[in-house]
Amino acid sequence: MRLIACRLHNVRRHRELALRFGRELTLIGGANETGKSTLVEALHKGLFLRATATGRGVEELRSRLHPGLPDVEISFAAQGEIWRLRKRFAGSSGTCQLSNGSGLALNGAAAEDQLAGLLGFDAPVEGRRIAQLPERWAHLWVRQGDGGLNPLGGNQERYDHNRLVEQLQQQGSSSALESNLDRLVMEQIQQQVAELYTATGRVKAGSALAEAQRRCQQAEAALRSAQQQLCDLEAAMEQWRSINERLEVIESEQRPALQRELELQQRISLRQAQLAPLQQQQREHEQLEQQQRRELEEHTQLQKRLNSLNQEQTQQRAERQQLEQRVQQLGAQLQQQAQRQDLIQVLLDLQQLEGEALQLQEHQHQLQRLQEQADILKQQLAQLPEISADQVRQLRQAEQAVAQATARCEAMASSLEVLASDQAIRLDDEPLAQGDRRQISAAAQLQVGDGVQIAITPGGGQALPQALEQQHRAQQQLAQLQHQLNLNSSDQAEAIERQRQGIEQELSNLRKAAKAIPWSGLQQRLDQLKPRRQRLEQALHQQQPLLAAMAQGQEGCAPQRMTQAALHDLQEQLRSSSTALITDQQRHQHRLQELDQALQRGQASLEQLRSRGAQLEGSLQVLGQRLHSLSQQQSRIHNLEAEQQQLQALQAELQQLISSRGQEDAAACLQRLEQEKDQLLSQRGQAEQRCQSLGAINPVAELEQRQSAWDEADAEHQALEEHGQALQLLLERFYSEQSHLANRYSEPLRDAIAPYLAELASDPHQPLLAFDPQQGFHNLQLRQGEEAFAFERLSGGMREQLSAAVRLAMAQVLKPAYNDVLPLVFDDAFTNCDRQRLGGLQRMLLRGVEQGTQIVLLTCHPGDYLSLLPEPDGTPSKNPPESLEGIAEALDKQSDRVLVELS
Amino acid sequence: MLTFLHSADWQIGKPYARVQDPDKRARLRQARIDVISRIAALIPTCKARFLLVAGDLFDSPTPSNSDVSAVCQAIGKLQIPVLVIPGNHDHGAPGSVWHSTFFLAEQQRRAANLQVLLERQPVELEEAVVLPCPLLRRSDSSDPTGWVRQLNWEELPAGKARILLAHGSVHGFAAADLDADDDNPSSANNRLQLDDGLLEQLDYVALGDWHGLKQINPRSWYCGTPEPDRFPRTNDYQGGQVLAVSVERGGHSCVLAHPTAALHWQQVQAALRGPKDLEQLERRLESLLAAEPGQQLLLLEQSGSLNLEAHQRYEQLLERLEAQLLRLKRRGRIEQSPDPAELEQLIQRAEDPLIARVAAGLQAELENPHAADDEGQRRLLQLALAELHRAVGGVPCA
Repeated sequence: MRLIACRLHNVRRHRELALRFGRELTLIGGANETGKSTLVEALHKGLFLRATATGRGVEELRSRLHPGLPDVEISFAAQGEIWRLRKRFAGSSGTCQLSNGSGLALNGAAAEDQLAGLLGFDAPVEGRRIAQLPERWAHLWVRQGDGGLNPLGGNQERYDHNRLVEQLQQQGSSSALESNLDRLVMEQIQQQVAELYTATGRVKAGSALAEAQRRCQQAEAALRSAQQQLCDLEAAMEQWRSINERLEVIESEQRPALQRELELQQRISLRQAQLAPLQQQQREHEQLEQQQRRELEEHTQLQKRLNSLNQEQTQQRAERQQLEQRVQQLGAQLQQQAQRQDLIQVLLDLQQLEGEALQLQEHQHQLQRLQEQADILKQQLAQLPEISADQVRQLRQAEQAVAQATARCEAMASSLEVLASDQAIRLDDEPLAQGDRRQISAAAQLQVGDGVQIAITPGGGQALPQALEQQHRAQQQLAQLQHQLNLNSSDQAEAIERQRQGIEQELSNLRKAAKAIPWSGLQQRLDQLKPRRQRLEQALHQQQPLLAAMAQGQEGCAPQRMTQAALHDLQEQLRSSSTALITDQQRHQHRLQELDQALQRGQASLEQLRSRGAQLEGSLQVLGQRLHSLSQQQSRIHNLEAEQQQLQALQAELQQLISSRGQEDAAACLQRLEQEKDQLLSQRGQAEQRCQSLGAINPVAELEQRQSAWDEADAEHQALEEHGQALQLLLERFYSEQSHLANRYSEPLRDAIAPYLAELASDPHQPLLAFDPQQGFHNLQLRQGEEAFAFERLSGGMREQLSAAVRLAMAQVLKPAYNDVLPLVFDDAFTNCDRQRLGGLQRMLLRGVEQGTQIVLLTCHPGDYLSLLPEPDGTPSKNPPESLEGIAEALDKQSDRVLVELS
Repeated sequence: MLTFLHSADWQIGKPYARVQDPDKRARLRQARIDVISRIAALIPTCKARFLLVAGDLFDSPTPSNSDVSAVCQAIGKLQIPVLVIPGNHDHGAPGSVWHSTFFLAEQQRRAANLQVLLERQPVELEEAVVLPCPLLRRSDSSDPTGWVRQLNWEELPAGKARILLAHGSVHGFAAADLDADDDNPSSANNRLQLDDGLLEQLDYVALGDWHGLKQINPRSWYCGTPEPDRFPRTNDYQGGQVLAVSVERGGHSCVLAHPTAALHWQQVQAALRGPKDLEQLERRLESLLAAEPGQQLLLLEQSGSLNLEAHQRYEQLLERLEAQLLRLKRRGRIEQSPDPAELEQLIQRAEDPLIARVAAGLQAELENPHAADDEGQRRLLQLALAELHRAVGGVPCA
């Protein structure tokens, strides 16, 4: 099939577009939005979409710029004829016309069917199946953006699989292909497998195998149910039996036992009621006897206790008397001791008195001596002038002032010394002799002889006279002081002052010594001692006999003659012996108190005992009377023992019955047993009913039948399954062998692809391809060196180039089925191709052209492919043509390679 | 000397569920009732005083009423007392046939001579004391003969023969297990202790459960079923008789087996290694195939292998046998494996490369020693090859 020309009318932006296709190559250039893709789409729809289609497929063709319906006219060669196709897409009223040079002119559906047949399909694509449209000739129609898609991807319809295989078979080795019988047998097996299994290998619903499976499952369920039924029957029988056994136990053992138990209980309670008053009396008698015994014993104990208490009291009283006597003795001793102590105290007082008197007298003598010494010293002091230390200091200061003034005057005065003179020298009329020295303090006249008078004036101006004045005053003051003191010098004054100080110090010492003596009232105190002494001596006198006694006690040494220390010792002895006596006395008195208390307690106890004794005696009397009256009834009690033995026997039997079944109340137990029996009877009825209903159909036979049915169904299922598996295995083997053979199919296609790839680069990559009868061609790869890369892993540019090579190869392989030529449309299919590869790409396309493929190349950059076009020679035919009329006839004149510029 | 008949395991109502044809099943079931009349015929000749049935008179504890009626009718025709104990198949639990009002009524109506022994206590007859050991549940862990051991032997009549009537396995002979096959699974195991101490006190032990004839000890016998219901397990397996037992107290017993079977259960070895063997088998079965249909039962013990064509012929033979026989049971398998000629037909097909290659591949795998180990895989490969053969043969010439 070769495209010759086309014309679009009212198709999207094209009001009118007509163009001639080159026999080999049509390069259609045009900027974006010039309608290149519209052209590609319109051609495709013209060829494959039914003219009466509605919906999206047609809507997309409509022009918004130009009124009128889309109209596509295509002229093409196929099956040795030139065909002219015109489709007017007007929804359901669209039209299709197809005519050829042989005079065939078809309309409508017939035209559509004829067209589809020419293009290798059964029918055109319906509007509602618009999704199928892109799959038509997808290997030959590369739309914008699809350049990098795998031409072998997707389903086999996309790349005319069957025809491709057919062509490859025809072109490949004849010996390796499947025969008709092969195909028929395989189809038969396929059909058989398909009857049993789904495409995914599952058992097909409704198939014989599924039915067998279902029957098997049903038979199994029925078997289980039959088994269950038999089990249920056996269980019901077993339950029935156990109910019977239980009922038997209840009837023959448990119920009689309980009834006997109840009877025993009744008899026991009756017997117990009869025995109760007798037992009561017996118990009372026993109690009374017991009480009597207890009280008698208590009474005896009481008597014993009374006796012992009395005895104890007697002893205590005797002891008390002894103690009282002893206390009295101790009191007398203590009194005596006190007297002696008093006496010794008198003696000691007397001795102290005498000591005091002696000391007072001694003081008197000392004071007298001190007085005498003081008088002597006072006399010495009176003889010395009264000069104080201040006065001595004043005198000394005055002397120092004179000395200082004199020194000053002398320093200021002129000094005159007569060393030798032959004449009288007179100073202020006072003659001076050789060796005289004078201090001249005021202006003076010196006469030497007569004839010489010299006025001498000492230096210093007024200072000298002031100094002289001061000296004079000091001398006067000194003289005044000396006169007052009647002394000549300060040293003298000082010596006198020191002497006075010494005497006064001595006097002071005497006074201090006198102060140490309690001198005041000494005589008075001495006088006061006399009445005391008299009292003491009087007291001593009164105690003369005692003194004598003590003297005897002291081995003849009379106490009045004892030293103070001895007396103190004696006193201490007496005191300690008194203390011992007092302690002794206190102890005895404490004991006495204790005895008193004990006696009192004893007395109280005695009284209590006596009262209790009286009570007991009363009680015993009453008890005796009561016992006496009870003893008279004793004859009735004699039978009691026998009756009790009988009762015990009954109780033992009852106990045995109770212990054999538990502690529960017998009546309740019997009631429960009755309830259980009722329940069991009802259960037995149920079990019986169950047995009847379950046994009605003979479950054993039923089970055997079910088992057999299941075995049969299972065997059938297994046989069918095995058969199915064998068929599957067979089919698998067929596929596998077919696939093995089919590898030979992919070889010619690979071989077809390889030369195209070889045009791309000097170091060409090898294509890899797999074929599978079910999947078709797949697993397109490119071997680069040792490694193979899946199509999807290749770069964008490489994908475009490999895709183009595959398409070119497919077009080449397929072309014998299409009158030895097929168009291959590339719409902007090499957008990722780099400039370096452009040459290779051009060579590849050129090879396609050489192999007889009609290439239609739409691109924004037609300049890239200009080299594919021949040098312009003369005037090319106008393209686009004004009309398609006559084009068909001019097929021979179709240019080989054509450039169309869309604007 | 007292003579009585010892029988057991009548298993009336046995459904023979594995027999597909309902008519054949009915015929098999009827045969089990018919045998009673043949037993009846033995009574006068043996001068039997009574008949003991040692369990499993019915096949189920709840047989159908029609079976009950038929049995009662047949037993009623026997002129002697028939003493029956329940076995494991027709155990005497409450709810079982023995307690059902229908049975009791039918017994009264048709078989006054039938005495069902459900109590474990001595039953004194005119000349013997029967010690019944009925099974009161399908499987009892306690020894059904246990009660006999508690007996005070002194209290039994001194001159009367003592006959123990029991159903189950005895020590050293697990009747139920040994007798089971894929048609008749072992349903219970009731152990009977027949120790010397007990045997000393007895004159005869009438046992049931094992469907063949078997003497356990000088005084203990399994009588087997009067009408065989299964293919013999061993060559010495003897089914289809009743025992006429002559016995006296303290003396020796004399046991005679009288055949009663009507049906013939045959067993044939079909070890086929080629078409010739198949022909031989066909010849062997010729008489069987020529006989009156619906009388024989055959167990075919299959083994060996046939080529595809012979296998098809074998299948046809089986079809004929199925039609002819009351029951055809097959055990084992005849493999189908193409012979060299058949194989060549498939493999030597240059014009049909796919078929040839597939067939060659399957055959190669079958010849692989590993494939022989996996029986399932081997079978699958053989089946696939046979299918291919069939498919190639079935496709009309193109």
